Amino acid sequence: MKIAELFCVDGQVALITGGASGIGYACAEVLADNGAKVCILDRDAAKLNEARQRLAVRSPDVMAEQADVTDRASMRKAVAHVIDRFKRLDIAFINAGIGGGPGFLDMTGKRNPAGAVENLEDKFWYGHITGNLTSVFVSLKSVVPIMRAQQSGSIIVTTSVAALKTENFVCTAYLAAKAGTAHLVRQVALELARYNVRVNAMAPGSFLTGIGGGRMADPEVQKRFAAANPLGRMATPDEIKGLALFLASPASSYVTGAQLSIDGGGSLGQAD
Amino acid sequence: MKAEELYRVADKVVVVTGGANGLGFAMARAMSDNDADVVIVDRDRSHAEQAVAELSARGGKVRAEIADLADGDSLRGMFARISEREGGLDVVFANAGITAGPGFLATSGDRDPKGAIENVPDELWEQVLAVNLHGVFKTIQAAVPHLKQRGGGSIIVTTSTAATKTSPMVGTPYLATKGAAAHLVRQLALELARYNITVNAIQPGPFQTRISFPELVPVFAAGSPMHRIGRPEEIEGVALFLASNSSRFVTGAQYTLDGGQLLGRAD
Repeated sequence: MKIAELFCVDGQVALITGGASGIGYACAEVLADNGAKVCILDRDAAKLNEARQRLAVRSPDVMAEQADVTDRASMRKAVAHVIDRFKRLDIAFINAGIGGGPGFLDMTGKRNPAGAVENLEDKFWYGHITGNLTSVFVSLKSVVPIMRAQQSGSIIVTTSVAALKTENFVCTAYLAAKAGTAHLVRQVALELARYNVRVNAMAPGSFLTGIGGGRMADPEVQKRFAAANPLGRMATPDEIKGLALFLASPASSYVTGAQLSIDGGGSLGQAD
Repeated sequence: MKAEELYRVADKVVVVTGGANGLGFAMARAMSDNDADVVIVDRDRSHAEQAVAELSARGGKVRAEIADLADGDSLRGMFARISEREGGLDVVFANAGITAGPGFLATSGDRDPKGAIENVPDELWEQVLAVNLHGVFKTIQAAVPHLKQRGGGSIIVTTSTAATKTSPMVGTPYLATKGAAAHLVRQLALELARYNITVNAIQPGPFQTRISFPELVPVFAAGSPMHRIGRPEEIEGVALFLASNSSRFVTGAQYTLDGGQLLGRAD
C-alpha cells in the first residue's frame, strides 16, 4: 500500500494534551501536516497561543484550549469544546507530564541527597503522581466516553523509558508514576479493545524538550545524557513524528496495549 | 511533515528474508509499493519467483535470491552481490522463520504427547534453530559489513509474542528460538549503535500466514482482546516506520503488533 494511504489521518480529529511544546507540539504538527483537525491543550496560556499561531500556518483546522490535566472540570470543558467544533474525536495524545528532576545520583555520578528516597517530601511525591499518573487517568476519563460511543479511536499516552528501567539520574517519584501510567495503558487497552478503541504508549528516552524546568537546556546535562546513550546523542522533538503518526493512523490497526520505546538504545545499557 | 516524506523508502536497497510468503511478503510489498529496491530471499525458487512476478506487476523494483540461511558463506556471497549490483545496502528484514510443530497442549486444551518436551525430536529442534536463530544470526553477520560501509542502516528482525510470553499451544523449540532472537536484537543494537545501525524487532502476535496452523486461528481469535487475528497487510505500517529515517532514534526495541494478545483475555 502507498504510504499516503496507509498513514492517512486526513479529516480526523485529534486532541493533544501538553500540546504547546516539546513532544506534544511535534505530534500536533505532524497531524496538522497530514490533514487532521487538531486541538492542542496546555495550561500555559501564552505558550498555547504561540503554538496555536504556529500550527495555524500549517492547517486551517486548528484550535487551542487552556486546560489543566489534573482538573476534571477543566478537561471536561476542553473536550466538550472540541466536540462542539469538530463533532467527533478520533485521536487523543495524552502527553502532558511534569519532569522528574534529579535522581539519587547527580549528573557527575555522585550521590544527590535531595534525590534520596528518605528526603523526598510528601508534597513532591504527590505532585509527581498527580502530574504524571492521575493526569492520564483524568484525560482517559474525559476522552473514552466519546470513543466508546463512536466505537473507534486511537489513544496514545506518552510514558518514558524510565517506566521500563531504573534511572540513576531521574527522580524516583517520576519513575514510579510513569510505570503506573505504562501499566494503566495496558489495562485500559484490554478493556477497550472490543470497542475498537486502541490504547498504546510511546516510551521516549532522552529528548531535548523543556520538561523538568528546562534542565535539558544546560549543555552539560545534554552532554551527560548524550554520552550515556548508545547512539551517542539525544533526540529532537521532531523525531517523535514517525512513531506518533504510525500510532494515530490506521497503519497501526492491529497494535494495542503496546509500549513502543524510542530511546536510541538507552534502555539497553551502555557500550563504548 | 507529510507521511510520504516521513516514511520515505524510495531507492533504499532492502533485503527481506522469507520474503515470498506471509509477513515477509507483506514487508516486501510495503517496500516495493513505495519504490524501494527490494531483494526477496527465499529457499523456495518457485515461491520467490511468483512473489517477484506479483510485485513487479504492481510496478515494483524487485528481484529474488535463492539462499539457504544455514549457509553463512553463501549468505556472505549473496550480500556482496546485492551490495555491488545495487550500489549498497540500507535495510535488512531478517524475517524468515518456521514453525515447530505442536505445543504441549492441543487446541482442545488436552495434553498433546507429541509436543511434550521429552518427545520433541532432536531433528526438529535443530531444524527450527537453524532457521529461526542461526539463520537470523548469519543473515545479520553477513549484512553488517555492508551496512557499516554505508555509514548506517536498519536491521529488522521478526520475532513473536511467543518470545515474551509462554504459549502452551506453540511448539517449544519455536518459543526458545524467538526468545533468543529477541535478546540477540538487544545485544546487537547495543553493539551496532555507534555505527548508526539500528536493530529492532517486530513482534507479531497471531497473524493469518502460511506458517500458522489453521486449527489455531479460531483459538487465537477467541483469545484476542480484539477478537480477531492479524491480517498480513497490517504489518506494513511498522515495516515502513522501522525501514525509514523516521525511526533513526529507535534501536533495540521490540515493536509488538498483537491485537492486545499479550495483555491477556477480556470478554
